[in-house]
Amino acid sequence: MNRREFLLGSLAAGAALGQQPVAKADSVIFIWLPGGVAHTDTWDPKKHTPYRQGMKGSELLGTCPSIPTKLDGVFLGKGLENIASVMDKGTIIRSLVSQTKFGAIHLKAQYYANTGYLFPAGVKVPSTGAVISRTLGRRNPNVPGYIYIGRDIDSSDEEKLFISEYLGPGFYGVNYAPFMIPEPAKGLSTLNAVSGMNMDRLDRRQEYLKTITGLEQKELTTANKATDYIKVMEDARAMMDSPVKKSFDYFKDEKPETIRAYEPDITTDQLMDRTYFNGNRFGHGLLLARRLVESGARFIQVEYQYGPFKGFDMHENGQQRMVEMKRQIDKPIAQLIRDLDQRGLLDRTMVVIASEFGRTIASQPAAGQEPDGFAERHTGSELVIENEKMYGFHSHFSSCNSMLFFGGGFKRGLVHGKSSPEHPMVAIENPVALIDVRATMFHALGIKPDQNFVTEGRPFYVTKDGKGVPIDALLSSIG
Amino acid sequence: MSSERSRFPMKLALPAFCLIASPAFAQIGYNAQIKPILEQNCSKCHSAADRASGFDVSTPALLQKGGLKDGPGVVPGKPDESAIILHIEGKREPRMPRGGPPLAPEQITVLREWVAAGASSDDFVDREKLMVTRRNNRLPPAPPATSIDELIAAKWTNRTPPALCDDVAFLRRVYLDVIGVIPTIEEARRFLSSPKPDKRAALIEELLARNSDYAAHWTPFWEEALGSSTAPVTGGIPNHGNHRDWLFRSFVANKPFDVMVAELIDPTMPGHPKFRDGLANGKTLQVGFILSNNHTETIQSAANVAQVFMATSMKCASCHNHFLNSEWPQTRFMAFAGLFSAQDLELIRCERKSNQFIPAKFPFEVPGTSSTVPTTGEERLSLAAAMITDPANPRFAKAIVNRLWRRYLGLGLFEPIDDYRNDRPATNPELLDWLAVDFMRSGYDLKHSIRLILNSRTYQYRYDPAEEDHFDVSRPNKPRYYRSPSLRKLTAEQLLDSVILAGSQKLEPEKRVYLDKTTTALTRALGRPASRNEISTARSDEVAVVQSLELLNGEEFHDLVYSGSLLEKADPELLYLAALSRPPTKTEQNQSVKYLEQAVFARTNPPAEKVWIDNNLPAGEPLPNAPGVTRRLFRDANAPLPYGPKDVLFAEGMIDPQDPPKQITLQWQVVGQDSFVYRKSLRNPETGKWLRFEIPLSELTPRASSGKITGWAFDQTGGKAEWRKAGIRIAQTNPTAELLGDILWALTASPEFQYIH
Repeated sequence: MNRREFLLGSLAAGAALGQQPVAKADSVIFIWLPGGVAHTDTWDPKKHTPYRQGMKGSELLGTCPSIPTKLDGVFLGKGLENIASVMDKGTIIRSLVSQTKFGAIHLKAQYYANTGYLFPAGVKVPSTGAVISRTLGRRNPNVPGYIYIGRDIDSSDEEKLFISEYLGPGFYGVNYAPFMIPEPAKGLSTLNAVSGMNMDRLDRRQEYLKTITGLEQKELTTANKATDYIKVMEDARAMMDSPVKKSFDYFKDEKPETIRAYEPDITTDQLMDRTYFNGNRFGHGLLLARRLVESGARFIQVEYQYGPFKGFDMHENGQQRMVEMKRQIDKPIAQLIRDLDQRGLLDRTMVVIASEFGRTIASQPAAGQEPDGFAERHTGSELVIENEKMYGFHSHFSSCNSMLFFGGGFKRGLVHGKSSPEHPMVAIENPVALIDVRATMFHALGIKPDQNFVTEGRPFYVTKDGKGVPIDALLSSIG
Repeated sequence: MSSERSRFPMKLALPAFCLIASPAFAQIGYNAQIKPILEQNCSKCHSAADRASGFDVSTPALLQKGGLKDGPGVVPGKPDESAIILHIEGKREPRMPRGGPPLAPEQITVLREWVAAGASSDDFVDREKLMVTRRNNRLPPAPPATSIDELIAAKWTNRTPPALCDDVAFLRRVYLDVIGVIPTIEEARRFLSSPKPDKRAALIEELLARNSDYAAHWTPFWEEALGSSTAPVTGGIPNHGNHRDWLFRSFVANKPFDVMVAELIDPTMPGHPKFRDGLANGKTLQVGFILSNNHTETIQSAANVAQVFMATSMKCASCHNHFLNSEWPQTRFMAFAGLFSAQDLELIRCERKSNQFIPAKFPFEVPGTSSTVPTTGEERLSLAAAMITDPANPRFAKAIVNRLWRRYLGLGLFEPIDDYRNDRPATNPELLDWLAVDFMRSGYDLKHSIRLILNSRTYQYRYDPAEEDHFDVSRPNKPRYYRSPSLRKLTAEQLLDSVILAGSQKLEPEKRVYLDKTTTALTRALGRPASRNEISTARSDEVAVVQSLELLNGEEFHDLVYSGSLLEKADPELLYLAALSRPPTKTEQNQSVKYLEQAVFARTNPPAEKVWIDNNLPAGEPLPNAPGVTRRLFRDANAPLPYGPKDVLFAEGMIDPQDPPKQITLQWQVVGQDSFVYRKSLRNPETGKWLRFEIPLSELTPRASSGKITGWAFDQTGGKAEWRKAGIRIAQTNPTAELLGDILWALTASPEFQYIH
């Protein structure tokens, strides 16, 4: 065996050199807020500059006052009072930078945020959930490793098709595909028999399948692939009786006040943009995520569903819409953190809050008019804000963003990095790159940055080229 | 490169004149190339003024007519029968030009190619003919007289040949492999009861001749391999274009594979699939299989071409020298990638620019072709296409025959199939070479090689897990003997098309699963990719809980199985024939009878009618983007209307006899989809009285299974129409049919159905 063969052999086995980190966390709840959350109005608030007709873009620093948090000297944007009350349990990165400027292209930035690779990567890249659930395996054999809550299973247009690409298992294949739960209240429909079929009949039918399979030709019934196939069919049946199914019964099990605590602090008729209100879907998704962690799930992603120019993708009326979005996410997220903490789950559960990029001042009066995409270094000095529609952070900003972590080995009560108080609001202290942040998450879960699986005859790493470096400053020393 | 060469002592039989050929990609036109050669060398004697021997070379027509002694000067398509070619090559006396020096070899080549491609007076000779001509001149000599079976057996240590599979196994294999779906009961009966000794070969022939079905089975594979997509630009990201129709047509016509690939890559080929550019954020973005909007796209296009058509994995060399394969220093790959761009590419090593530009160059030696690289993007692509498809390219033919081998036997002669490497020889290199040469000499005829493989004993050996080969990435050089085919899981398309066929004994071509515009939870779980933004030449055939849950409890699979019309025949034996192409054994028959005798658990319900819309239809609104069309839309109902695949939608309406609308179309929105998924136009309805229109859900396209209707639109073009109620008639269920459905479910969910064995 020459050296190369040896190397390939060892890579093939998914092993790599280096020390295996000790896991500080077992489960992940990844709160995904696509659309580009204006960090300047939320996690990294800037000086409040109220609307004044004719003000210059460069004068606009923040659209809301800052509020104190449980963490001394650390402020969030107004409207996040609930999350502020649990900030002593979390870490904020305020200096997440990206060399790649994604310009107008949300999808590429989302792909990057969910996979750590730039599109096109040349192979079908697995999403973070697939990576973690494959590397660590299931926590409970009858509970899916990767569950995705809050996004429609809909591939009716190309944009949605693209999204399925970076949320999916990539080259890992269907075994690592997410279990999609579009609507938490409806649960995972395939854990229930279809209408008209009851459990009794279902079992008799499966028993019949087993009987007739046993009667098939010997060659077929002894083949490993065929026996695996029948075994997985039985696993699926077992999952129907497993604790995961009970997780969906939250209406029955939880107290009404608990359920209410996970609901948004706003109703449809109070909204400026009524076409895009997800109701209780996001909040109940977080409640379900907590219950799934309790049942033994490994990785759960909860999304405030993205749609172009909807939700957090705000290109006009940014100030008012941001107020409304905060009222939708603040209570449920804070309740999740409190709940996990009270149940003693937060230490071993990593909660992540992420968006594909931050926002800055627009260089043009309205979206779509930017001639060269979005000018990241724009200071807004030439933009005149003529009306309230233009008052807000409308421009995509890949240069600096925030990201939040609670529990799961991350420090409790930390702000890492700093961004400029004036335009352009780039990172001015401790800039960190996504590759290293991902390496840190993996490290806390006991996964090495060069953990890899082979595809097309070559290793494919969980951080790009295996080169991510965990950021020690973010992780707690205990654990 | 010596290891790239064939195992057989077969130097390319390149005639001398080919060695300094015109660049293989160069275009030939009568006025640009042919006429000047003739005028310079022949017109002195053979012109209108001075018709020596009665021969005049002034026009293609006169060339064909020929002179007094020698017959036609030019026979289109046949250079070796054309007097002018024979004379200038000196094969016939006197050698022409008489007394002067012979023509330059490249001039002779151009003339030969022009004659072979049809000797037309066109300024651009038919590119496809020209390509075939050139290729036929460069084919390798015939391979040794042997066969797949001999070459396979030569490697065995155990010399006893394995047994062939029985007729049922063969029948299913060949149906699923050629047309992608199992046989009907009738087709199975016909084959199984035939006493003819050559019936297997006859069936292979019969299936290969079902051109549309054959093409329908190939299309999804290549859609994935090309990254074919349905919309030009996705959220600002250009994709590879929708190649579905082009693929389908190419396979229906059994287009020579080299021509197909040249069409795909070379924009000057007449059959090149062209796409309109996409627009995103004010920028025009090129759309197609080959993209070069930027550096990354260019090198990925090059890597895709290398992977799909030369089975060569170069992606690692995009940013640095390939760590695991010394064949691929980054510069070698960048030189290749330069052929896919208008300019040479800059060496960018791990995102660091070098200001070093690598001259474009084809990475393999292709003897007898020019190394001159043209300077326009289009010409470079022509060159790339010519080099890739050239018979002397050591990897092109091997890549595709290996794909065929894997498709029909389960494991390639080299594995992984996209990563051919000199340091990892194929498991049976003699067979790989032999298949490749035979394929080239057949005129790159895919059906020829498929026929050869399917008719081999090797393909027809009985499935035997004890003999089955396996590929283990950590022991890549472990030999494979092919004494048994590998067990292969049906693809999503094969499986679902076969379930439909089993249940209803027919499969309408336009309802085949590969045509579904969208994927579903079921098809995704079975391995159909949700998107094709990255190319892929292999689906995983592993099983997963998410998949089993869809088979157990998914409404889609349930509806496909339980809506089969065959269930009404109440005959379990028929279900065995339909699903497994064989009658049940005695024990199996007893088991099914026992199952049917159980207490009835099935739901029973009488037919019921549910009115969803009474007379409160909203007023009509003109549709902004469809002039003349008025829409009355009932939507966002508090209670969506559930439907099943056997239910019937109805609407009661009256058409004004004085002013009937030109067209009436009903459309439906369903849960989870924003747009209207189903529509039905009402054809020539009677006027002046209340009519009840009934629309069985089974007739809607795409296939309706179960779901909930959330919106119902009544669209009319001009005229007057009234509606008073609309809703659904729910089909009655029959308890025996339900239990028979359970049996059919078990049969289709069994390994015997789910795998090709």
